Amino acid sequence: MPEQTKSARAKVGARLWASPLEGLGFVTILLFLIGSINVFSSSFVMGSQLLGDNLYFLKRHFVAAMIGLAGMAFIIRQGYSWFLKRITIWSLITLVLLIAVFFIGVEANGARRWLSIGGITTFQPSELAKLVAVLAAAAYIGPRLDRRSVSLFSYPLLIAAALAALVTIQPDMGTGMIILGMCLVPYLVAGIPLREWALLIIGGGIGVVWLIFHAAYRAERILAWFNPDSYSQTSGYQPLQSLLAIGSGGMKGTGLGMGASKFYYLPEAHTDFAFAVWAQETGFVGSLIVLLLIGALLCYGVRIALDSTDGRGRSVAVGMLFLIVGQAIGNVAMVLSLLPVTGVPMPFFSYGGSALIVNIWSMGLLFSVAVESARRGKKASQPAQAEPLRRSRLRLSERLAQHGR
Amino acid sequence: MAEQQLKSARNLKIFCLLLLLLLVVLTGRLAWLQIIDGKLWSDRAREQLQETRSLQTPRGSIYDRNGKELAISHMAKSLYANPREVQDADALAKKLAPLLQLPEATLRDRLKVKGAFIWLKRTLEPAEYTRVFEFIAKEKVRGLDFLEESRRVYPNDQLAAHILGFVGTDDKGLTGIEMGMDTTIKGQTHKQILDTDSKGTPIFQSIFAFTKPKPGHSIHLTIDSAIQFAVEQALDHSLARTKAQAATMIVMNPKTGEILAMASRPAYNPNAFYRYSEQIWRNRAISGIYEPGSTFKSLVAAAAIHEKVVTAKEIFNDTGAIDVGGRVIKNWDGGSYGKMPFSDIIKYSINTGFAEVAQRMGGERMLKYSEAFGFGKPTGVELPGEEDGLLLSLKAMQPSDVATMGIGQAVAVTPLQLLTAVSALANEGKLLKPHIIKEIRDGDGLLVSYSAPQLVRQVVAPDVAQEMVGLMEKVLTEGGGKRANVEGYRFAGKTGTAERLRDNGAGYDPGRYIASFVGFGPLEDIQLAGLVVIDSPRGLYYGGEIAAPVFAEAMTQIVRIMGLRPSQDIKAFQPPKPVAPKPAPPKPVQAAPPAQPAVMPPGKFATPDVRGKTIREAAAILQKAGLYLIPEGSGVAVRQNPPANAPVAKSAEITVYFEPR
Repeated sequence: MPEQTKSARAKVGARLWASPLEGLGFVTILLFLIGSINVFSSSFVMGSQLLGDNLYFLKRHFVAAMIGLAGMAFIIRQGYSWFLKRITIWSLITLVLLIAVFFIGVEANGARRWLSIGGITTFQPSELAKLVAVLAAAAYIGPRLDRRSVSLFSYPLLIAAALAALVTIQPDMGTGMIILGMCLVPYLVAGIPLREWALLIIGGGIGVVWLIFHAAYRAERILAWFNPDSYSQTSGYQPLQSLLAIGSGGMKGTGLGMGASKFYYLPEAHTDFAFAVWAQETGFVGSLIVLLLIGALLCYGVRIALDSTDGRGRSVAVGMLFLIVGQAIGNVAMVLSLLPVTGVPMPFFSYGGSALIVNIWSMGLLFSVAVESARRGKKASQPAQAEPLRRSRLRLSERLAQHGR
Repeated sequence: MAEQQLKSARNLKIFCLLLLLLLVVLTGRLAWLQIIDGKLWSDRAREQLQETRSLQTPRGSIYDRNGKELAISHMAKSLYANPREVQDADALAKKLAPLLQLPEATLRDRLKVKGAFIWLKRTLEPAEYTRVFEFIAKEKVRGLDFLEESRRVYPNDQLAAHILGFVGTDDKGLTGIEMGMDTTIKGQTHKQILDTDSKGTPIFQSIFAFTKPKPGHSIHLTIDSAIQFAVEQALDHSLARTKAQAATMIVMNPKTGEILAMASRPAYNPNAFYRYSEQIWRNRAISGIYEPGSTFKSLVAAAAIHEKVVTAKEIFNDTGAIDVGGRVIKNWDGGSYGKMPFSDIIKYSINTGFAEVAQRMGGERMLKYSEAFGFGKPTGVELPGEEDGLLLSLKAMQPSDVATMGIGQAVAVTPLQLLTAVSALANEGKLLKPHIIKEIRDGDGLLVSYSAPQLVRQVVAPDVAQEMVGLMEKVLTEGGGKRANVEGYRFAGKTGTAERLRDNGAGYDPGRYIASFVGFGPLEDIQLAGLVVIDSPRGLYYGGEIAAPVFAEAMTQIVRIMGLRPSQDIKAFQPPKPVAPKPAPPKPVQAAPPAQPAVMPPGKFATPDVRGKTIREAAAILQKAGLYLIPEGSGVAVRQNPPANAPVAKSAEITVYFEPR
């Protein structure tokens, strides 16, 4: 008995919070707060000079956060299964929205990516498409995870391909690729036959090469990626400015708000390159904190996925996790010039209402997986007797949960 | 089933490790960029961020002794472009060209320059500025803006032009005070290192660094523009009468060495100095050397009396000519005057007498006194281009040179040297250093330096100087300088006529003369000394006929401007019986009328004294007197122009300077 208490105490000491769910929640709140600070810091110059309100972007960021939080509450209340079951509806809605963008979308910078909402604000359906593509993959893989192997040749990939195609013609090839990639990850984690791996690698390779040489600007971007100084006034300008911003931050940074890069030196300082502003103003220390938080988010997320006894839950968790962490890693790699410039936003850092809403919903789905397993764990641990019994009761309760509500 | 689940768990862990590995890679890259290469990147960022700009502060103003503006730098708008922000240089150049009246190609080139700053046109005319400003507002043009720059303006055009000089490009003073005091009043070029955004707009602390710089020091001259105007007017009249080639006049206060006016003719307008030849820019008062002729005799006489080689009463016998070592000196009219005292020798400017006196003095003493009176080297006035004059060395002196020096030949002087020397006679033998700068004030109007009278040396004893004043008064009352008389005032002086030296200094210019007159007064309290030099008049050329009337004309104006009391003992000038000198009538104190000065010229009355009054009070007083108030500044009246008690006509404008107290 004394030994037991000791170990329990040790357990409490080792963990700051009781469960991965709490940990994930804490990390998410931290990331959101830091991100919000950075949204303000990277946007107030532009906001005050071009729009006459230095809080312009922050206000919109918070409004989007509110919408996201409302959605999150709904998602957790309904549970992820409710959403998985209606994946056809979500897919259709997203397709319709993307088609609508094609016809009545708002044009900016030579691309149609937004839908106007009553002329007040805009919505970017391609952000929603990322979520739906992952959700579709999870819906397909989930039930098969426990039984038979999954195959790439399945409907979610078709849905993802359709969404990606519609996004690519906006044109926004970067996001199109992300949609396809996001959809693939649950497949890879679930395990696909070797044959399909080979096919994927060969097909992907050919696709990438074709895409690069299909448009001259992409090839130049790649060259600029290797040698930003030679392209400092053209394709290399943005990566170079990003490196200047990050590098000049040094160890401790220039101080919040005191970074110079957002004064029109670094393009897209408040969106795609927001992390560079953070790195400049808070230095290596601040950047490391964010990377650690993302690492923590990853670990808690994987814990939740592993804890989930439901194949669907696990697939949803993996998908949502990658949606957040994958984009974060991709964005930081791009900002650090480890990847060529593609429009991958940094979750919670890059300003963008649609992305923020979708990210919060994604976190909501991840939470719902944890909530579900916790609920099951409780139910299971209360009787805590025979193994088979627990299993059967689990199944039963799951069925009830699915049909009863 | 379980196998599949295990497999997926294993894959999940691999997936997690893979992403963690990527995060480690990112951390490594961040550390590399921020810690190892951090210094490098921040230097590069700094280089991109910082911009060096030079700002020109306005050149300081030049004022006369009463604070009237003689040279000011008024702020004009200069148009510049930020080529980084300019969107369509070609179209913009096309539209701007007619507005700025500049070639389109020039504008296009400038608009395409790399960098964030280039001038398009400096110091725009107000109309041009309005046109461009409206164009920018209407078309919402980006990348064009204005900066204020100083532009030199001489509001009085040619008045005191030779004193002031002018400013060339790059804010560089080229002659006169502008050149002599260039470093003092020059607008400073401030190099500013600013943090800017990518469009060149200052950011962070640099926003506050962009404050308007203070103007340079201002110069307050001893010149009185009213006196200067009177002098210039007299010169202009004289030039019109005599058709002389050139003329110069200086007026100074012999008690202080302050130069009150200094003018040269031909004149030029410093606002358009480039339209005149360099010869016209020359300030003859300090750089035009000439043989002083008889005006020099006053100094010779003073020196001789001081050395006791002669007294005023000693009788000389003028035979009309004197042989001075191989050269015969004759009187100006070639006649002989017979026996007369030395005082009359001075009065009639008898050459033979002065030649003899000079011979008695000897070359050494003649040179010693010439040097003591300041000849042979610049007076040190704060003007550039002052000449030394010419003084023979003792070795080079022939016996004839000693004698001719006695009549003001064989010596070359500048007008200022001569006036300074004669002023010593009017100042009890004390030679003062002439000065033209009264004070220098900084950009905030605070006093930086002040010129007090500077004694050079006592040249002759006070009683000798006093005696010379008396002797020179006779020149005006009885001798050759009658036409220099200032009605109502006692003046003393000396005329002079000399053959003109060639411009190259080699010998004389036949048939060309320099007529001059030097004098001072009023003798009760000498405030003014003046010298008129007229170069190559046509027709009459004697100083007493050509130069003396100019002196009289100018001084008549000047005594009124200064509000000097006319001499009481001159009956010719006392028309309105003075009221004030009567002992103050026992009237009620509160009804004290404004103090009347002793005597006023006809049609004029004394300017009321408003010093110490507020604007409201001053306006009331002046209105009552039928005068107009021109207020300058605010607060309490400290100065007025014309000064208190100066004669003014009805409806005149009185400028009153107020300062906060």
